[in-house]
Amino acid sequence: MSATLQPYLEAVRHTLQAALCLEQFSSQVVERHNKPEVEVQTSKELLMTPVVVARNKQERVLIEPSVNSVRISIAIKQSDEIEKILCHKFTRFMCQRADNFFVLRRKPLPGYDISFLITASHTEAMFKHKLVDFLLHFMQEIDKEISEMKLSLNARARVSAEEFLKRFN
Amino acid sequence: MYNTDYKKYNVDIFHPAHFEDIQEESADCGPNVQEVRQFLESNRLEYALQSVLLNPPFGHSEQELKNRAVLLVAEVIHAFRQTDIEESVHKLSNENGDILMKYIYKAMQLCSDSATCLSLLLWHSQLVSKFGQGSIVRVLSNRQRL
Repeated sequence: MSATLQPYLEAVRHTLQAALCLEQFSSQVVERHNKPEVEVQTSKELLMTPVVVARNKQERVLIEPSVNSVRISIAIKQSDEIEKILCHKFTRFMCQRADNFFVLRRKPLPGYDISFLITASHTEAMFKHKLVDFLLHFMQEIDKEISEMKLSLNARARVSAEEFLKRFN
Repeated sequence: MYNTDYKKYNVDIFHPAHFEDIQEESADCGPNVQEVRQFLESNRLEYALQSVLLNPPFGHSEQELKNRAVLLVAEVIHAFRQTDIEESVHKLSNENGDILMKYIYKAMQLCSDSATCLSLLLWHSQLVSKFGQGSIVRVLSNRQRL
């Protein structure tokens, strides 16, 4: 389990460190605007090659760098229906409060569960290495969180089923 | 008199909507599949690696051809034992390191079984420790894509 997790996280870390070389870049289309180029995609020469770091079929990270912003989309492991529901609820909860997380994107990219958007302003306001640490910490924690939620959900279901069936004894 | 030639420029062709990415068509059309297969079958992995990194089809217009080359590279590096990876990476030249890095990123996009992904990730970490993050930046910024 952790034998494959470690190289995966290391690869994501190195790719993020390489991708987070951002600078302020004013929009080429609208005067006095500064937009994340990876989102508006106004010109091809400002976008860099998007790369995928994958661990298996389900777990992968898409990193799309551009001149002034990086979009990171994470696909989270979902082995059964319960995990799918939990993951959906959890990421939705986070996305609705995206403003409090600064780098979180309100909507994930299709095919992925959660997306982050880091702009040049974020790298100026925050430490770059801490941002990378945060993303990796998030990737590690969300797996743990979902498996814990699944366990407690099962335990709760068992208890309530027992209570319910006591009446028929 | 002032030079007024600039008034005759057709500025509309510089409009961003008309921008076309200039792609030089590369003549390289991928590694020699038969040669690589022969090396793989006779278990000469070092030669197979050298041979598979020749003529990379970067920026080729045919996506199918590029995908086949990527899958072949993934197959070759998956054949290596984990303990041999470090030694093989140390024998690579800088150019071949960059080429292999590009192949690895593309292979992670195409392959999805966990065994292949694990060997790709191990190769990735060895390449980063040998060539540094510069090789990743060159993958990101190079426009001759796979």
